[in-house]
Amino acid sequence: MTNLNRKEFLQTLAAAGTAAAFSAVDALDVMAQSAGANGTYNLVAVMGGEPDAMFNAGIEQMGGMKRFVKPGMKVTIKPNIGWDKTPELSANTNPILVAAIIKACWAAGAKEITVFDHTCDEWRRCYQSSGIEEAAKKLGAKVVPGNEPEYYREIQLPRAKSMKTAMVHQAILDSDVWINCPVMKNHSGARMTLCMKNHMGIVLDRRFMHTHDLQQCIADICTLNPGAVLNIVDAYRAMLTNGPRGRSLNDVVQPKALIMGTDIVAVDTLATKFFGQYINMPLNEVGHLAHGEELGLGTMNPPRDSIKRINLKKQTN
Amino acid sequence: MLRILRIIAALVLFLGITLFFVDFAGFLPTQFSWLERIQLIPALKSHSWIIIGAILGVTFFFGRIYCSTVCPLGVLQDIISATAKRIHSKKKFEYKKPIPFLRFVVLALFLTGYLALVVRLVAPAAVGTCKRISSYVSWVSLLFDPYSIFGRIACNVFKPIYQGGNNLYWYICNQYGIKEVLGLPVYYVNAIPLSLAAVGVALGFLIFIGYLAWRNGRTYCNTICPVGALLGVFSRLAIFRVWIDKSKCGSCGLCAQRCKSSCIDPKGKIVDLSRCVDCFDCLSACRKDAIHYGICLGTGERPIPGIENSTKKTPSLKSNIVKSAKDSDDFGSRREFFDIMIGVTGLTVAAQALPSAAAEEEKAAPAVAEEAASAPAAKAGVVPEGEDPEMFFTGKTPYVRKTPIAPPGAKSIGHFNAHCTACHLCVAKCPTSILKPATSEYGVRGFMQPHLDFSRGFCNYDCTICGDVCPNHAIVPLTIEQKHKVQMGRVVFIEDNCVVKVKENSCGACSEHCPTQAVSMVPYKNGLTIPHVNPDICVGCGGCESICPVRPFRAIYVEGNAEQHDRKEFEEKKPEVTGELEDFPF
Repeated sequence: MTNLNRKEFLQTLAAAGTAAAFSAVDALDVMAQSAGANGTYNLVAVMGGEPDAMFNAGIEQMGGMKRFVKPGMKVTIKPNIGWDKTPELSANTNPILVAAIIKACWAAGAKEITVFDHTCDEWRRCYQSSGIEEAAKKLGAKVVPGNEPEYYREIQLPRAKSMKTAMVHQAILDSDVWINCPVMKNHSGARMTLCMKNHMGIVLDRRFMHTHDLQQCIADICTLNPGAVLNIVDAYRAMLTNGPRGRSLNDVVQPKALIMGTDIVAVDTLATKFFGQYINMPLNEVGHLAHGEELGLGTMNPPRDSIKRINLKKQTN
Repeated sequence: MLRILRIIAALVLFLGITLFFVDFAGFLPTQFSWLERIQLIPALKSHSWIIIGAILGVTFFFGRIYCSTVCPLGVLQDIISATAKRIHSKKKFEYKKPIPFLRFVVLALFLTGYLALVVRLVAPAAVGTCKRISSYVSWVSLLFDPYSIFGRIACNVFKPIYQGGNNLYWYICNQYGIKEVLGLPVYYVNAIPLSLAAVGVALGFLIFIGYLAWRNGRTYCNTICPVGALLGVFSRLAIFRVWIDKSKCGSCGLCAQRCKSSCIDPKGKIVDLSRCVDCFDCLSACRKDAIHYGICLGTGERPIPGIENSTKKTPSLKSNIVKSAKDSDDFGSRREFFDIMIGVTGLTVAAQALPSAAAEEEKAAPAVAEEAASAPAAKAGVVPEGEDPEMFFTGKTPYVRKTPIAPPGAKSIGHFNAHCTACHLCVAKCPTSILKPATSEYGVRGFMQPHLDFSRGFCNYDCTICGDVCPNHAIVPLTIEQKHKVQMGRVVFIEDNCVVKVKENSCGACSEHCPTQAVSMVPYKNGLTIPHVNPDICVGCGGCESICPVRPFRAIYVEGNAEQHDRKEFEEKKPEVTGELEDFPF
């Protein structure tokens, strides 16, 4: 027996409504690429500023965080915190960006914000060295580990081709919305670490993915429902070589850019093109992009006018 | 008053050491390793002359205060015997004659080994013989050093219990959706001990010493312990000491009933200072104010065993012993001695049986694995449910690691074997839990000493904790820069096992984890990339081995270095364009 009072009932209704709305977003995205009637974009690329300034400018063009996070929602943010490395080495998402996202979520009325990653190095060292734990805790977000099977639950992926079931972190499954924010890196296996690849950090058994066609498995896990409402690529710094771990500062460049959007395939495609300006990176080598498009996750050819480009240095379009 | 001070000091140090061992959450900073550095045998092993001098000096002036406060095993025994007293309130201690034979044999063996270690240090010419002596005799310190015994108990028995308690706490919090309590994250930890053999050894010691402590207090300290034996030599001459005022003493024996060292002879009115641990329990027992701690005054005696006393009336300790042995419980003492002998033999046999059992197990392991490979019917526990079992079993080419991987900073396996007393502090502190007590990996002489096991994790490139905490300098402390260079082992790639070759799938997990790119991905065929190894720049961290998805034999593993040295430098190329770009390419 559950007795819902009026407020709880309305909250449940709102949550169910938004969930339904967002699962429809996938399909609608292709049509809604060009600027919507209300002047909001679904794809924004920003350059020439600090991580927080670029994020704030970008989210404004997307209709503000209120579009994605409704009051009372439980939000989970999934940055890249895979390695025991400092922000300068660009192996993890920039803590200033994570802080800016948390601030925007609180401002939009989030009830609870959780930050986590299934790290490669020992999780406490990663959380500490990346600076993300400190930044998130300072703003009142909860930072939870992802290293033990106890935190994961099995889900079905009916649309998937290779990986039909996966153990996914409860922070994702228990959230109302989640935000994906990887750092831009090259990757020895998957070629690029971007939003789609960042899904590997919500899964328990990565060994399975590596033995069952990695590129397909990456696309498969992205069919997770609900997917991230917002995909943000942190390219304030980027790792060009020896990724995803990197050896030294010689692997790192500083493009001072940020690409965000609702269409995960489009965001990753733009980010790969952007990365390609430094080092040759043909889109077909990043196999999960095409696999993602095949699975209907988004488009690899977003119309040019659907992308809002901002250069904070020039302050023009 | 003195007793209360002793208890406070003992509890503070004991809790500090125990917490430092069990603390998985990193509450206590690495500086707490000082509590382990001030232990006598670690200080000897690390040649910390100041600490050694301080301990011997304090003992010479004040008696074996060390045994009652600093030594965690001593305090553990006190806690056990105090508990026994609480439960059996009528429990009384009584005077027992000393059994010096065993402890001096242990001490002699230890000192021989230690001497060999020092000679090796100052006279490299004698290395060969000394090496053998020092590493074999390190077994003595491994088996009998009280701190190391306690360390193994703390790491292998107390820590899993503590972690289990944490998991219960986590489970309850998780039921209510609580993720943080007072700003501290609540999380689950893997509480399964790393090595069952180590748990067995630790439990064996705990039961053996615990039993002795429950029955007779400080039996271990005064019968076997090499530290007790060594300090006993100095405490005989202690300037501040427990002494009996013979003019007041009525030989009622109340003090002796309190003495957990069984070293007060009320009939002879004498305290055996070589066994007295300065617990001060006896001081308040006397109704005639006849027993004191301080500089021996007036009618008190300065009994030095073996030397006839000037006061003819009172017999010396030596004759006293003979006398008391005759008229008191000769039988009891002898039985106790046999008890101990049986215990020691049992432990030694068990300890030797364990590695051979483990070795057999290991020999059996490849056979089992091969069986699994030939019949890929999913064995429970090897392949997660609901997955195609065949996919994991591409690693059919077996390999055997010839040299174990010693911790970073171990210098060489010889140095490590000779200095490590298997206190398992590094095992307890390793954040990735890859330091595992060896069974047969180093051979008999390295039994219980930690080696790196990459089956579930790898050595963090930026972590130096094991060397930072090692009180013996068996693992020397490294800076981050040194750690990045030290080569513990070299990577070996078995292409025939690799999923890229066998299944023609992209993978690259090994290269992904490689901090130096000793494993890099090179073009293969059909746009695939395959690992390529450069062992010269490998640090041997095991990132590749731990993550390789192939079973039963992995496609990549690390072969240990008997002598650790610096890896070669890798070449670095700076990308041509590094800064900001003018515009977006889309």
